[in-house]
Amino acid sequence: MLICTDIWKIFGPTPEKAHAALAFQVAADKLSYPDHVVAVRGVSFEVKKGETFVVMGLSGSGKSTLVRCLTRLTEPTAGQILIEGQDVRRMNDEALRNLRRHKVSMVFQNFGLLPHRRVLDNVAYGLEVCGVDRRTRNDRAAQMIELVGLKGWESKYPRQLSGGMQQRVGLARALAVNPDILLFDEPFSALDPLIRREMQDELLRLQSTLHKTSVFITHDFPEALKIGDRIAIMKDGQFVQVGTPQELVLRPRDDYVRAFVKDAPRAKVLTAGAIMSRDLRGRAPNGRTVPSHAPLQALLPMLAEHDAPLTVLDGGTPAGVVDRAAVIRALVEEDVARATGA
Amino acid sequence: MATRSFALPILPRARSSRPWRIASVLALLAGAWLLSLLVPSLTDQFPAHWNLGLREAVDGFSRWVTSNRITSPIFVYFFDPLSTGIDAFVRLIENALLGAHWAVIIGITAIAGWLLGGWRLSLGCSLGFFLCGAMGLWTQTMQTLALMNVSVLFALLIGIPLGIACALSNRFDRVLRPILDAMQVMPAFVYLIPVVLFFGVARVPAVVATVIYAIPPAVRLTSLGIREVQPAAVEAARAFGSTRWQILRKVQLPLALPAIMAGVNQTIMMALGIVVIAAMVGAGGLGREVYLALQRLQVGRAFEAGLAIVVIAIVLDRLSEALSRIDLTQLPSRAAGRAPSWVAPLVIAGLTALCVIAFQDAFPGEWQLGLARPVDGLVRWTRDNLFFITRPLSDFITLYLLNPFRDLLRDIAPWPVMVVAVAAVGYFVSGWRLALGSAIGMFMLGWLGMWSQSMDTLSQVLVTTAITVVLALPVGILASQSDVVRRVLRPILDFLQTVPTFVFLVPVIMLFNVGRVPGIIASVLYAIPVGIRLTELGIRQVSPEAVEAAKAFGSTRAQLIVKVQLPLAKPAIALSVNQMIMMVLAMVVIAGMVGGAGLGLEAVIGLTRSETGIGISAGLCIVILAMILDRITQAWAARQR
Amino acid sequence: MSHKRLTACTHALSWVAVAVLALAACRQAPAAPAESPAAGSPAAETPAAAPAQPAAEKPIIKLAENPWTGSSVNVYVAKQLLEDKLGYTVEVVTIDENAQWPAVAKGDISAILEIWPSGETHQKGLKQYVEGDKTVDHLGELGVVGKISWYVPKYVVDQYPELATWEGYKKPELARLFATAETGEDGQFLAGDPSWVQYDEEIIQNLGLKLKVVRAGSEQAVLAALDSAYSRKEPLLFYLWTPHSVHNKYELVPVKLPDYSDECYAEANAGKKACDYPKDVLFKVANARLKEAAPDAYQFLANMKLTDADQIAMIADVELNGKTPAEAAKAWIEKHEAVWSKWLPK
Repeated sequence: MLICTDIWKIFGPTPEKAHAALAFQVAADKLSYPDHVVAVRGVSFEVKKGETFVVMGLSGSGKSTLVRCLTRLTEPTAGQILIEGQDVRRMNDEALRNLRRHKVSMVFQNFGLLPHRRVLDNVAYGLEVCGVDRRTRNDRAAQMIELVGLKGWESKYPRQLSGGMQQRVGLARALAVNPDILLFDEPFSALDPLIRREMQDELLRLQSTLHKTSVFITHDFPEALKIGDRIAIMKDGQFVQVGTPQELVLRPRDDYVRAFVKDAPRAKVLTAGAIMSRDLRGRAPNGRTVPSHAPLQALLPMLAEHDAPLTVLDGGTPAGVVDRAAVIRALVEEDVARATGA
Repeated sequence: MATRSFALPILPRARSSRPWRIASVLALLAGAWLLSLLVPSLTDQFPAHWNLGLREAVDGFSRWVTSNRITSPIFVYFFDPLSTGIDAFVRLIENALLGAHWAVIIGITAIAGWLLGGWRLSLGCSLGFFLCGAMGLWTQTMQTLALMNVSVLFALLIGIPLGIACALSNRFDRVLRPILDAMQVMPAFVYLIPVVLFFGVARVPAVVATVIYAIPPAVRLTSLGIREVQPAAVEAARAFGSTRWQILRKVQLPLALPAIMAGVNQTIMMALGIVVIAAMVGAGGLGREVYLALQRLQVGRAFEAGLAIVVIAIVLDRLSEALSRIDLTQLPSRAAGRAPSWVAPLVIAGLTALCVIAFQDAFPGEWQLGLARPVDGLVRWTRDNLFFITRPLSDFITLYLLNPFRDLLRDIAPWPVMVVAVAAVGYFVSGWRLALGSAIGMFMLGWLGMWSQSMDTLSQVLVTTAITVVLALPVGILASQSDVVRRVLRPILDFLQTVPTFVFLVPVIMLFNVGRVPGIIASVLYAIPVGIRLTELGIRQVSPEAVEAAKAFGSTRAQLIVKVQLPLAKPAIALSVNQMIMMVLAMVVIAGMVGGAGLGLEAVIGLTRSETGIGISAGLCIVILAMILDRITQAWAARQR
Repeated sequence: MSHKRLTACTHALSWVAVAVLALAACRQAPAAPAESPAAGSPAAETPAAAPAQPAAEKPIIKLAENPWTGSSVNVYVAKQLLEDKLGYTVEVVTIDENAQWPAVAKGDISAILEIWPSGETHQKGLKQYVEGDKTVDHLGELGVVGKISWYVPKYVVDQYPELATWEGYKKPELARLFATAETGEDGQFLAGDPSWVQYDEEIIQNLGLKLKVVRAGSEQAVLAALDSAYSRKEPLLFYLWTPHSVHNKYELVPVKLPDYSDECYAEANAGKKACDYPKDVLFKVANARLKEAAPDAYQFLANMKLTDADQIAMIADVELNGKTPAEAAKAWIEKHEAVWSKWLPK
């Protein structure tokens, strides 16, 4: 669906020269080039259809620049971007506009709403610019507004709405053109914690029915864990590690990732399958079974009730065993991989 | 050779130490002085044979124009039809305004005021127009209003697209910027005769001159408004695949609307500033009243007409300000509290209808409000009773400020020393680029054959600015601390800013004697409102957190001003100094008309002797001085941040 | 919400505007023929008034009014006679005298009735348009003769009789009476409007007077300075001319300079002038095409001639009796039919 290969973005007077010097230099310790800022440094990844791919990094890591490179809102310095097999970097202005109009939509950190337009007209904006007639686009916009739960607010102006509601408008606007790919640039960072959680749930709810291919940028690791199918940790313009939430928690590649993982809600992220012992001999014949994708927090009540181990089923057949000690160890120990020896 | 070229790009970054730079500048100055001692023939006066010859070229061109005025196709097929069209348009508006019953005009203003701002604005606007009628100036007011409307319309039709182009293209912006600067500073006196050559007399040249003068703010504020549209909105529009045109039309222009409206407001103000000068080419209206009355020393009559101009300015200012405040993006809180009602407009319309039935077309003469006599009395009183203060003051300024300073700049310092000195100032506030520009500018002054006049004017401008700053700062500080002072000052400052300067020339001469001082006094009066306003604004905009923190630590009010507000308002105050200098420069020609000599007198000569070449040269010198002083003070203001 | 309100505003305004225009249109027709000589101020003549029907075949005559009373009364005498006796429509264009030449050459102005030969602009205008491309015709003398002089208030001469002639200004102690901060030790000579020929610096130098020229930059500046000095009976020496309305207000005495002679002003004498200014014989000009377009008006303007006494009487009527120039002209016309009837073409 979306394949990026070796994307670079360098800011400065002669980015090509800087790229040539940095990309083909043997010594990897050369991180900077005079008078230039390297925002994205040789990033490659692939997003599958229906998948939510999260890029997590602190501010200045280059994640916002990366997402802007995907539709060339920021022109990448080097690399290849394929969307449904089409090379984005080779598109002319017209083709690029069509990509932005029909295939890829974006939700912005500061909402990017047009303050002089009503909610309805904001949501209809994407359709308006591709020349959809007023009736059709207003109908479609009204549907989207209902979908994000803002029915009744159509003729308000953005400033009359709270932050969370504004971002719902942003979401509705992105969905209105029925894109194949959604790009989220820290969409919930500007919101209060409670509203943020509400919006995350809203997004998950929508995704459970729409299954849009998404790239989601965030600086909040718990948010990444909650939303992402796969997560890339970005630092200094590079991906440090890419993997599912569980992989990251279980096997952080280095101390940088480990620092994020430290406070992760392990009971929610880790699953029975990940910590089970494949030794089926200790299996209790009591019929206490759990599916392998069950998070640990689902196991806790059963283990609290009774001391006997649980059988982990993978596709219906027993695959391993989890006991109370294993769960407690997984919840408290940082490096589960080392602990379980898996 | 190779090492040299390699070293060059590094030079500007490797900043030499400050004492070293000072020493090298001093050495240059000394060198220039030494040169002037060695070759006095070259440096005593700016060499006359270096003259650029612009004067002759301009005069040759105007000779060509006058002798081909009737036959050349440029005139027959372009300027003449254009003039005819503009003339017809102005006459149309004028006839509409004059043909309508006076009560209808007042009624419309009242309704507009009510719709845009409420009853206070409505009442103020209608009273304003009523006052114009009561002073016996209804016809002239309508004529000026018609001229104003057309000029402002044209200025906006040209200015707003140019502003859009400036916002979209940095290169275009760079090219246009100095031209706009020149248009704003170039005294209208200078281009009055050429405009008459091209467009004939009466309404059309008045419109053209006004448009030239009033375009810059329309361009600048449009450009600024578009450039300052939140980048997030533009980016979102791009992300949804908008074309450039769609972004402009659907996002940038609507969001820049408040700034564009502010530009409209400024354009109106500028246009009103030129009313009297436009009367010199037959524009009629209020300007003609001022112009005729002054020729006859009827200060009171001139004051009435001037007051009518002030009234129009304030009415249009408040109306357009109210219009620009209707921010499409904002919750209409005022309207929310008040259900849209048609009662007030209907009442106004009813009253208007009553007046139309009850009174004749012409504004009733028996409501005459004679302001002329008391004003004349006041002028006589000041002439007879304040002289014992003003004469010594005038003598003091001449003998102890103006003379020594002018002698230093014009006679004592040889011209190469002055060039180096100004360049050095440019170097220290900004860098070698400004130094080079300033030096070229200074050189141009001599090149245009106006060195000694320019130095005379420069000395007057600097002294005037110094006086203005000394007066404006304390008043500005006071106004920032007290809302009462501010409210009292507002109408006075409005008056000073919009009343045609010509009106107070006569009293100023009576009090201060012909010479450089009356020009200085008039310039101070003209420039001081901006100084006071910007100082006050700067202090009021100091971040409330800083003020709160200072208060929390128990600062007295004086400590608060001296230790917190003034230092933090420094950039704004520096900017106000810049603006004051520009205002003073705009008055150079007026100063020339009351004995100020220098470039102002040359510009007046350009007009009064039809010496367009001299006029244009003098005008260019004023522009060059303005640009040098502007860039230097701007750079200095930027350093205060 | 606010969007609605704004549209409401514009709607309302546009309706009002339509109403106004309609109203204006209705009032236009009856308003046109009414000339308004009795209106309160000289500006009441709106040049915008639509041309009257009977004059449709005749061109509109546009007369230049310069901002001094003499010029105004000439123009209103001509205007009223052209309108009443010859049936023309006359527009008065108030304009600075220095801006009028290109306009009269092109025809934006039909005629100028009072031109002072001493004006620098006018000498150029004569050379370029009258002698040069012949777009402007010389219409002969106005009849009024002007004269530039150095003036002092009468009380100065009363107190120091020596100051009535130029010799008095050679004495430093007398010249110093006129000194100001701008002139230092020397006395101030206040030179006037830069439009006019000024040889004062030459004259002062060549006669060895203890004076220094201060250029006032405009006529108003000189008049204001005079008013101020006069009110305190201070000495003031300045450049002015007659006829001028100011003589009705203040008692002024011309300073006697060595008599004017043609040799003194000869080209060979450039820079050495040391005598009085010549007399200014005022003249009239018209656009050259006026002759064909309006022969009788052209003839009338060429014939028009006023004496010094005529003009001074009308100026006094305006300045002292508070009449408008139009009223003063009307009064003069009523009393002098014998004079103006000779101007009308046969």
